Amino acid sequence: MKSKSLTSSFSMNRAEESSLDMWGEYVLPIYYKEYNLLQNEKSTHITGGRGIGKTAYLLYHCYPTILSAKKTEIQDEELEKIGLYLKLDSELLEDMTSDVLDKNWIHAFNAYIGLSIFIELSKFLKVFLLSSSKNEESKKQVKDLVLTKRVVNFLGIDKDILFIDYEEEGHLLRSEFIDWLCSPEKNLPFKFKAKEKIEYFIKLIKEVKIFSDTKFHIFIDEFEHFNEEQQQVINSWIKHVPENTIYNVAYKKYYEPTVNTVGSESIQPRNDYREVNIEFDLIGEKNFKLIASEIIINKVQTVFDDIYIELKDYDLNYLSNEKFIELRKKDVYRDKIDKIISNMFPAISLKEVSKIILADKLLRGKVKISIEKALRKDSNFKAEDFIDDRKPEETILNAVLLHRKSINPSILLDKFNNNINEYAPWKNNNLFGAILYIYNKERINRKCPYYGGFKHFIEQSSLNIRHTLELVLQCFIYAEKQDNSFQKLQDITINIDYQANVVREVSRNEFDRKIAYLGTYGKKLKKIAERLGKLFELAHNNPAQSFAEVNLFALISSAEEAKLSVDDIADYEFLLRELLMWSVVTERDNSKKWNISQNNSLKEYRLHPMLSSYFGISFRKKRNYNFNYSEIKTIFLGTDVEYQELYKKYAEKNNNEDDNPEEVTLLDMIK
Amino acid sequence: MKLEFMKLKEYAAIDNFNCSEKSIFFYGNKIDDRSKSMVEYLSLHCEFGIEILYENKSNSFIVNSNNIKFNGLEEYILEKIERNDIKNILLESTSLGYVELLLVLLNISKDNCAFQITILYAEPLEYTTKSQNELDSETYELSEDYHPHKYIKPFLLNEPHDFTSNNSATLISFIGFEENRLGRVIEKNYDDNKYNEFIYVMPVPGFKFGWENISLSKHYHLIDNNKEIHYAPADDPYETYRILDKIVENNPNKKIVIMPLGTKPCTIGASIFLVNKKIENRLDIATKFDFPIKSKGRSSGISKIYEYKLRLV
Repeated sequence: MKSKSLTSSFSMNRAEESSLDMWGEYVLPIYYKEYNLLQNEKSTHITGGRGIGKTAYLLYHCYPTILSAKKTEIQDEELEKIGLYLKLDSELLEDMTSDVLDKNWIHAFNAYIGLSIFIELSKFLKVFLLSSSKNEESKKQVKDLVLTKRVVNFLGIDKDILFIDYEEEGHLLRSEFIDWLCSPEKNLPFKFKAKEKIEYFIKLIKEVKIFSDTKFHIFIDEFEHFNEEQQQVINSWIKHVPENTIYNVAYKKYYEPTVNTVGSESIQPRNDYREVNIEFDLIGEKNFKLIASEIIINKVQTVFDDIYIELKDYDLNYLSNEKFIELRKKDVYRDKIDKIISNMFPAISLKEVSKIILADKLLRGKVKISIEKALRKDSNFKAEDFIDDRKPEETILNAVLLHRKSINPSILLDKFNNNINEYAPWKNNNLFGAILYIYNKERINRKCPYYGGFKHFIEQSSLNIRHTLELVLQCFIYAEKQDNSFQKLQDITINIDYQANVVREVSRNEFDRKIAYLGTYGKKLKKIAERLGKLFELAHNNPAQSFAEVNLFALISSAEEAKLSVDDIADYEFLLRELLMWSVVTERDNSKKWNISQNNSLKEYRLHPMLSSYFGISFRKKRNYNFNYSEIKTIFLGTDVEYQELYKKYAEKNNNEDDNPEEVTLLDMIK
Repeated sequence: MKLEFMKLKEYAAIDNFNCSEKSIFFYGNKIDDRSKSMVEYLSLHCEFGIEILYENKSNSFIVNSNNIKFNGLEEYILEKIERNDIKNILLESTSLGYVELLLVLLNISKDNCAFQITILYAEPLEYTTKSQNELDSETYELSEDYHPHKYIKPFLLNEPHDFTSNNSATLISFIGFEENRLGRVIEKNYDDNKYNEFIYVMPVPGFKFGWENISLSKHYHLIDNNKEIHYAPADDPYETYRILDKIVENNPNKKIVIMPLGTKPCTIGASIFLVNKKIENRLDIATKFDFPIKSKGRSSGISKIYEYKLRLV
């Protein structure tokens, strides 16, 4: 019975789909204390990648959460800072530009923002009245707060109205605004400076005793949908902060808004605003697993209306409460969470996967064939000599090591029989590659179980909580289809084969059905992802696995660079930024790498690991291809024919890889 | 004045179609065989033609090589018609884009003359299929690229469709061959959350036997089991109109956004529907579009010519 509600609870995995009240739902990031947006006296630029939970973070600071009905009491101090969330209709914003409306655009833009914020203020007062604040005197004042005819005359309202009743009026005014937008040759019904009027309305609210010291933070989401002239207006508001209102903007990571204002000044980080990146500042790669686990556990507990025994001591809604952050940092707590989530989505070791391969007739056959192929030239050995069920990892490694020219079969056999400790560095560097090599030969019928397990979900999600939640949802759907219903919290566990199937499905879905739909250039992004994926796949299917787990690329400068035009470079950089912005590839700093060669780029790019299962490649950050500019141009901008040439080149290289010297790794050097 | 369907007729070839006296025709981008032949024939048999091309970037039109502002189209069209004492208006819809078609229809409906309106559409013999290679999985490349979704003024909802209105709408989407177009709408909705309900209209039966299966197979993964699906014949604007009417009637008090991402005859039906609803001053029905950049030579040959006759009442 419960599994049905589990799937419906997880299928709504976007903040926007749930309520605006984040209390009890929003899991505070570990470093939240330094990044409480309401504590800042300056503006904040909030950035975050696709699916990191940007909207939820903003909404946590806004009045529906501050005044949550789930809170049994609200202290007066909590009302000293109030957030208002604003997400405008991006398609409508496009009509409010100087191109479309000439000089009237600025009035339209001001009107749109002003009319929307006035409504939010009125809604805020209404929510306050319904909240559990015990300050009855202030509630009475709010009820009686009047927008006099004189105050609202600029909106064409010719009577006094109660502030709490403005909302209804406000919607009508916004309709009037739309009417004008459709026929802008008519007289503009609204001409006012939004910033000043908003500030004025706020001053009226401050007449209520409880709000006398309140500052209002306005969070403008999806700033990337504002055009440059619209951004300049907001930047001017950020530069010249009104007394009671602070304007903050949020946009996708890698997007770069203009720093110009309407005047000659520009806004500067630190002086005018602070930057917060949700992934790095708030969560941190190391804490992503904890937060993702907490979100999932919180959701399943809500569905079952029960709490895990291990968590019974904590307050209800502790995850949304700043007071409990220190506790959540402690190992004792983390271990509890880890235990619960690992029971739900158990993982499997590479050794166990190796055993599975040998126990599976089909896969075992592939191991044998690979060894036979490698030994073809050498009739002194039989494939069976290199297969031993007691040594599963070493056996799997034999299937690729024997393809290497540098490996003498008799020496390897001696190690295999008498000294398997010598396999240790290979286990580290090559075992997962070798396992994938075997599984890729049977990709349709078998899914490598190593992709399963919560810790691997986390690696494949790469800081995208939507991916993690999608994997979890699909696991629950799978369980539901198998009639695997969970009666109580402790029953929830998904077997590893289901998990691997789900990962493949989600990965395929992400590639096949998502990338092409992203933003305006989705089709191009998909093509690039496909081209990169196919090249990485080639390296993974190299029989010798001498260059294992290639899933990154870097650029090396060379004479080729000169062949690229300025336009080519601009096009490449544009598409790369789109890929990053939509998290189709992720970026990492290469500058601290121990063996970086001089002509390497300082950045490495990785195909998003959520796509790994689809291409049969590793999700671990391992090795990179060094592409020169000409190759990059082919991958990003080239025709299909040009790409096929490049693909062929790499295919040949990977087929003859056993002629190449084995890559020397750090581990080999220590050996 | 509202638009009313008079009759639907098919011709084996454009030569069988007779232009009435005092006719002008509107046409758009001649990107393939059929649009070229249509425009060529009409140029010989009508008083004159008006080429209308919508420019997405500047949100304006190029009309017979003149730049016309978005809101200047009405004046331009009506002036041309009145000055030349035109009685019959032809719309060559094979070449006309959605915005152009919709706005020409809206603007001539605003005029109080009883025009005869004829919409012509040439069905392709074949759509160009992308060469199959092992590295590419897509088959139909009817569009090179798309633009961000945009409203077509004045077909806007009566309030900004945003977080503040807290009012989700119902999307009625027509479906064609390219799943990317619907996919983009759905993916974007994960961020915007503008639509809480999706209603799909499938082109069934297709122009040719089996074509509907292409649409279905391309879109099946996007359509959840619990979504409402309707069927309108690929070549029938009248049926499309009727279905839209039914859907809207069954969804009272809802904000509705129509996106015609399907066949041209369905787009014609949707355009006529939208114009009539605008004339009725229905403020809860809007339309948005993705402005695809159509691939050159996306189809080859002409199969049949359809004539849809309308009048203003």
